[in-house]
This record gives sequence, structure tokens and C-alpha cells, in this order.
Amino acid sequence: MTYSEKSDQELVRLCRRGDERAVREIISRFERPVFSLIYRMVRDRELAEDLAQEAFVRTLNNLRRYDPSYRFSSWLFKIAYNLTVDHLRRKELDTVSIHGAPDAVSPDRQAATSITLAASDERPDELLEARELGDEIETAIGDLRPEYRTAILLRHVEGRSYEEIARTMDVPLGTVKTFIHRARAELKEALEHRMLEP
Amino acid sequence: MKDSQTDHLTADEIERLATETTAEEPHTSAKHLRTCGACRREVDFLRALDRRLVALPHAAPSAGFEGAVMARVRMPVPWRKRAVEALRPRWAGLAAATASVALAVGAMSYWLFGVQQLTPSGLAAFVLDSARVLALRGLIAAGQLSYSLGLTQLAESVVAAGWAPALAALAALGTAGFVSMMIMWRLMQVRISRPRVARR
Repeated sequence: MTYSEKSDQELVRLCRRGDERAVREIISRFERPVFSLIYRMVRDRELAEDLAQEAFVRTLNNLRRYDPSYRFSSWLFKIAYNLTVDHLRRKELDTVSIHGAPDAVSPDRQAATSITLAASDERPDELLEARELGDEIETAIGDLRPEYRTAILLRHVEGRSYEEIARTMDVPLGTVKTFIHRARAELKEALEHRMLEP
Repeated sequence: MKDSQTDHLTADEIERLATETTAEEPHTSAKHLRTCGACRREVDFLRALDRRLVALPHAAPSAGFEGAVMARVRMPVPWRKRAVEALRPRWAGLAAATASVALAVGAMSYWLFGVQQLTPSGLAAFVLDSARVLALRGLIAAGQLSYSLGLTQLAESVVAAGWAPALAALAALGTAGFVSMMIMWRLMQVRISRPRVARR
């Protein structure tokens, strides 16, 4: 069985024994979801990389504290979320724009802090349409409060259950439902005119 | 009890209808959805939102991300390997030293008690005699050296001139001064730690 076929729990067990390939597999398996979550929260590539790096380092250096009765990814997301929220609280970077972080004062900085969507093989007009809608969705998500943003991203982008989100964000289940309900209401207000078009 | 005609669906019911495509929809929810435009719009919006959010691309970190993380991760070392690594240099040094000493003691014992036919008391006498001879040779060599350097003649002339007590006093004073200076220098290096007092 190759490392990419192994379960998260199995990889963690190997990591604890000092298996470097297992550590690399964990990083490659989760670097995109973790980085994306942080990136969508801070809207700064460099900062997102630093925070994601810190999240992985803390997670991998503290594997002894991991409770295997929970999903490993929930624990990793929890560490990443806490680091990001701590940073946002320190910087008071609550509202962000698709066109760059609010503290982006130069064109270079705006370019560095704006989200670039991946290209696809759609027709140019469809691609433009999809990109515009994608931009609007990203903007609407960026306008949400960090708690709402995290909850909605974990629920819909990462496909996490309410219980996992509650554990990740360290809040009661009812609070998660409230976050997601309010996030959807705000997204609906911002996007309904585009989303329900035929 | 819920009236499917008048009561709107709850957020949980809307989410279930919007996201669970394979599960059987509860009869009352489905019935309500057919007749309530508001709830249908909610479900449609949530389906569209879920579809769009699921399709959002994952952003990728830079190529050096994995290497940067690996450089900071403290790889756990298995306890057996850790123990061997920790003890290997000490064991090697200790074993080499012990072997050398054992070899030297063995060879010496063989030479003294085997070849030279010595008894322990004879060995003790031999060691003491050798030490005495060595000490005498040392003294004689030191005397010859001082004589050849002219120190002996110098000492004789100092004693003859009556300067010996003055020189002895000067030497004593110099020594006392040097020791005092060393003590002062050492005391200046000592930092006195005081409890930190909070500023008001």
C-alpha cells in the first residue's frame, strides 16, 4: 500500500514513529485545503503561507497530543483556524475585498492580496461568466464576519459536518448552526440575483 | 403538529432538502415544497450556493511550502534509535579507555610479577626507591642549572651585602599586592542581583 492510499490515522501513527514520508504525505494531502481556508480569511498570500506553515508545524510537532478518536483533519483545521483568528483579532482585519486586502496600498500589494481563481477549459464567454460569478462569491464570502466565513467554508467547501465544525471552531453546535444560517442569509442577499438565474 | 400547508420549513429541513439528493424527502416537507414558493426559492438558492461553493477552487501554496514546513518539523526518533544515538559516543570512548587501561595494567603486571619476579612488597620498595632516585636527580639538575645561570653567586652576594631581609619583605609586599588586585578584579565582575521593583 502506497502512502497516498493510507488513511489519515495510519499516517499519523507512522509520523509518530518518525516516518518522514508519512509527514510529507500529510502535508501534501492537506496543504491546499488548509492554505485555501486561511487564504480566504486573510486575503494575503504571503501571510496565508506563513500561517499555514505555522499550523502544520504546530500540528506535526504536537502529534502526541492528538486524540485519535477525532478526525485528524478536524484537529489540523482547528489549529489553523485558531492561528488565523488570533491573527485577525490582532490586526482587526475583519472586512476584506476580492480586489485585495484593505491594507493593500500599492498595486503590487493589491495583486498579492487578491484571490486568483484557477483557469478551466470552459469557453471564453462561459469562463468570463464563471469568473465574474466566482469573484462575486469570493467577495461576498470575504464580506462575512470571520466566524461566519469559516463556518460556511468548512460546511460547503470542505464538506464538514456541523459537529466537526463545532469542534474546529470550539463553539457549541447551536452556535455553528446560527453562524451558517446567518452566513447563508448574507450570501443570499448579496448573490441571489445571480445565483438563481437560469 | 406541523401543518404542511401553512408552516414554512425549518432551516434544517431546507438544508436536508437542498443537500441530500438520494435520501427520501419527508412526506410533509416535500408536500409543503410543492405548494410554498418561498420555501422552494430557499431550497433552490441553497442548492445553487452549495454547488457553487463546492466548485470553488482550492488555492495552492508556493512550491517551497512543503520544504519550509519540513525544515521546522521536529521528527520524532524511535526510542531504541534515540538510546543508541545518545549512548554511542560515550560507550565507544568508555570502552576504548577501559581496554587501554586493562591492557596497560596487564602488560605491566606480567613484566613486574612474571619477568622481574617481584613480590608486592618488593614492588613497593622498587617504586619508593625509583621515586627517591628521581627526586634526587631533579634536585641535582636544578642546582646545576642555577649554578650555570649564575643564580647561586647572585644569592651569595645578596646575603653577603645584607639585602636578604629587604628583598624578602619586598617579595612579600609584591605578592600581597598582586593577590589583593586579583581579589578586587574578581569582585568587580560579580553582579549583585536585586529584586526588581515595579515602577509606579
